Amino acid sequence: MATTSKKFHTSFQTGQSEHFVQFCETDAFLIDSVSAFIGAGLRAGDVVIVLATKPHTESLEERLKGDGLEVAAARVRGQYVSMDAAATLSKFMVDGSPEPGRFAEVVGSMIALAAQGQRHVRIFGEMVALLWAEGNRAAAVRLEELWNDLGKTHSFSLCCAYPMQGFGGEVYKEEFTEICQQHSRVIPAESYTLLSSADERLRAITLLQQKANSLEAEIAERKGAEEQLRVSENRYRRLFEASKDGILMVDPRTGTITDANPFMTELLGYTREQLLGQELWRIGLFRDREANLEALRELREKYVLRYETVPLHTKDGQRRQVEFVSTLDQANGHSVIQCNLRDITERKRAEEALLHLAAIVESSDDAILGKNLEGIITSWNAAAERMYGYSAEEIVGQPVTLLFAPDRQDEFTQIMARIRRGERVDHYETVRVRKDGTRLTVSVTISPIKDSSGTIIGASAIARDITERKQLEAKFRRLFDSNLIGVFVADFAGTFLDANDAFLGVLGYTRAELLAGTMQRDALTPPEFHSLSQNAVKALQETGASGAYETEYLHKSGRRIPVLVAVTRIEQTETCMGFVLDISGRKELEKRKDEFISMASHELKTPLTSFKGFLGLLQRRLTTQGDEQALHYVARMDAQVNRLTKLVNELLDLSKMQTGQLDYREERFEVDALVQEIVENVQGTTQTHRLLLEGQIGAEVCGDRDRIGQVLINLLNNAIKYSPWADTVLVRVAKDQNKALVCVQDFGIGIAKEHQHKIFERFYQVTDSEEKTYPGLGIGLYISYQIVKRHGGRMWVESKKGEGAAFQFTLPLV
Amino acid sequence: MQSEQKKILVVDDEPDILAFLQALLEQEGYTVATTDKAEYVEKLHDDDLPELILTDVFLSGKDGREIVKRLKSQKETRHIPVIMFSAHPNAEQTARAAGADDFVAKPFEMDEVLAKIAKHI
Repeated sequence: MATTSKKFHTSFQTGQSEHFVQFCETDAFLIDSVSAFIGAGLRAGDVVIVLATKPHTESLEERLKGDGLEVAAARVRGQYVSMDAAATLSKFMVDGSPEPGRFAEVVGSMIALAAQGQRHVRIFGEMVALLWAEGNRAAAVRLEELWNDLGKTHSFSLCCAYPMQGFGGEVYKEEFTEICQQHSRVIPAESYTLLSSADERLRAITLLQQKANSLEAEIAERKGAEEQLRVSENRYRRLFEASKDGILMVDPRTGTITDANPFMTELLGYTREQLLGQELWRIGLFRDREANLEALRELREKYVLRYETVPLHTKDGQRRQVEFVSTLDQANGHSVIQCNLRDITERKRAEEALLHLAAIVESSDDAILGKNLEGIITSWNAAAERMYGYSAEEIVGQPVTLLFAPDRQDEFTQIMARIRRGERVDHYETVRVRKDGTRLTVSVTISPIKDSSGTIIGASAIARDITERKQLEAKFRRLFDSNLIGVFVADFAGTFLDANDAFLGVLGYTRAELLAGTMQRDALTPPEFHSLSQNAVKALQETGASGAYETEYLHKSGRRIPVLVAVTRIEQTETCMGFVLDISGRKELEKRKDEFISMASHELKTPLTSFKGFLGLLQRRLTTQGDEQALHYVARMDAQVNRLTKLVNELLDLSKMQTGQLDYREERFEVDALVQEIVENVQGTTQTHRLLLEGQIGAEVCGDRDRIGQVLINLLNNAIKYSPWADTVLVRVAKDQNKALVCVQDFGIGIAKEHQHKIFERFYQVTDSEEKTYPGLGIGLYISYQIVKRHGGRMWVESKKGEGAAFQFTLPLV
Repeated sequence: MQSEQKKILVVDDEPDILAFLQALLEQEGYTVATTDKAEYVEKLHDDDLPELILTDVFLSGKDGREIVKRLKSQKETRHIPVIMFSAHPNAEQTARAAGADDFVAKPFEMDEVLAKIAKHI
């Protein structure tokens, strides 16, 4: 260092008042340079004043001592003075600026004192450099001026030192020049100063010039870039402010929000201030803190995060859907996260609504198709595929006229003309053709489709296959027009709305009278049948059909017409359809049959009575004569007369049962007594079987004692008749809950399963080769069954072929 | 044989029925008058009244029940027991309603008729 220091000695021509500046790049160079200046002064006997920072002062004194100078002694002699730069500065600084009066007082008196005895004064000052370093450049320049002013009245050499890095930058160009101008001499920094030969220095200058040029170019370039950056920054800022996406800037290290655009605050319902410094999960974005941290971790890994749909809870409790895109950018060692949030709630809702509609269309049972104004099919649902046989792939893009019957092609033009006028075509019935060529009848509704501006761009067609309905209608029309049976349509209130000729014929009215609405059910029905009509309407409303019932209508002439009526509700309406059969003829016939049977039974019984009477007389005479053989014959004849009488009675009962005229008495009677009486009576007529009676219930039933007795007689006679090889019939009486149970058990031929239900039917007889030997009308069980049923009881049989039969019936106890 | 010769009037429009009933009842010791005319009953005289009347419900041209009603409404004949018979089993109710004291369904067992006569005479 000593060698280098010597090179500077020539630089400092002492003895003259001067103010020079030393630029330096490093502290080491500064100390080298200043120590040379100060050291030379001390050696020459000058007074030296050091106004430097503490570290610089210490380094300087170390160096001077190293150069063999007695700094301490010089200080004692008053030749070396050191003062703290900052402390000195504070003595004359007023409001950030050196006050000239105080400066002259503080620094001027110091110099005056040092210069006593005409000694030259050397000063190293760093006060200006301090001000410069503080950024108070105006004060620094002002202080330089004050130093220069002081130089006019005082003689001293002043060395100012500036660190070169303090001037790095274009902005300092003017100030640097000014500082240089303030000084009588400028000493460049060491990279130049250290060069020893002129050639080297020239080269260095050239190099510096070149460097200066390229620096200027670079500066210009940078200025351009900065300008561009500024424009870009402004543009970005405008975008940020005006964006319809919510934008958040997030600090990647803390995960907290550093900025939020206005739309973001609107979306979330928080103010910008409320958002700043928050973590994302706290403002309703992520499920919880863990999810938030996981997202940040993923972002740091991938730099981009995209979530199609993220649920968002706003401050006021709304749930919204957002699309979330987040990026991590790194620039100039800084990294920043930008999150873009797009509110897609409405879009999602619209999408769902659209899906919902599409599902309805697809699941419809009606064929639904879309077509443009040229008639090209644009959409095709599943029902259309089923109805017409074309798949969507086949038909979309094809003209709709493909579905039109060849003789109906002109319909297309007519329909489209109406569609273009914005009209709808409702329930238009026509014929279409399936893919396989078969025809179908459809009811079509065609509506215009408009775009968002209201322009008609096509049409939708909804078609229902009514082929079956049409066929049914045609079939029904034939029934209606056949007039085999009266058919009417009426409302529930009883007004006849439509009827065929057969119905009008029954009642004697004309079509004109019907259409005038004059035909009312109640007016056409005798009063005693009104309740029957009301019951039918009630059944109609409850079950949809009345079932067939007999009633009477009043003919226009006032005559009563017995009719059989069945009414059925017409679906989804308050109307019904009725079928009416005039049963006057049948009723007349029934009446005549009834009269005939009544008369016939009377006429048959009269000879039987005489027959039986004379047999009785004969029997008395033969008894007197003691002719046993003849008596036996008479007894056989009497039995046959009895049998004939029974058959006649059964026929009469049957006839009356058919017309509901069989009379029943209502009286209470004891079951036990009746059964015992009947069993005893029947036992008296048979020698072949023993009738065994079991059980007693001690209870009464209500009904016709004789008819119930008739039932039991019938069952006992059957039991005897159908068990020719057995000798016992079992009769059992029991109580079954609130019913009396009577069972007649035989041990005869039995009844096969397939006959067991039918034997209670009228005129039914078990016919197979074996049973041919059992004659009868097949009405005894029918009558018994009807009597028991009429008493509210039940009758059935338990039997196996060949194992006898158990006929049982119940009667409700009183 | 009846000791007091009780008189029974039998009314029916069937001659055979009248014939065997007359034979039967006479065998049993009754005095028997028979007629197929309802008018005969209406013209009965006080000194000629029977102890019992046996009559059919349905007579040709006349309803037996009307005759019974008339007999039962007149002081002189009210006491005479009337037994009705008919080929219509269901006629019993109307017969009794008209005032008949008993009823027998045709065709009948002789013993049944005799028992009912003995009961009422």
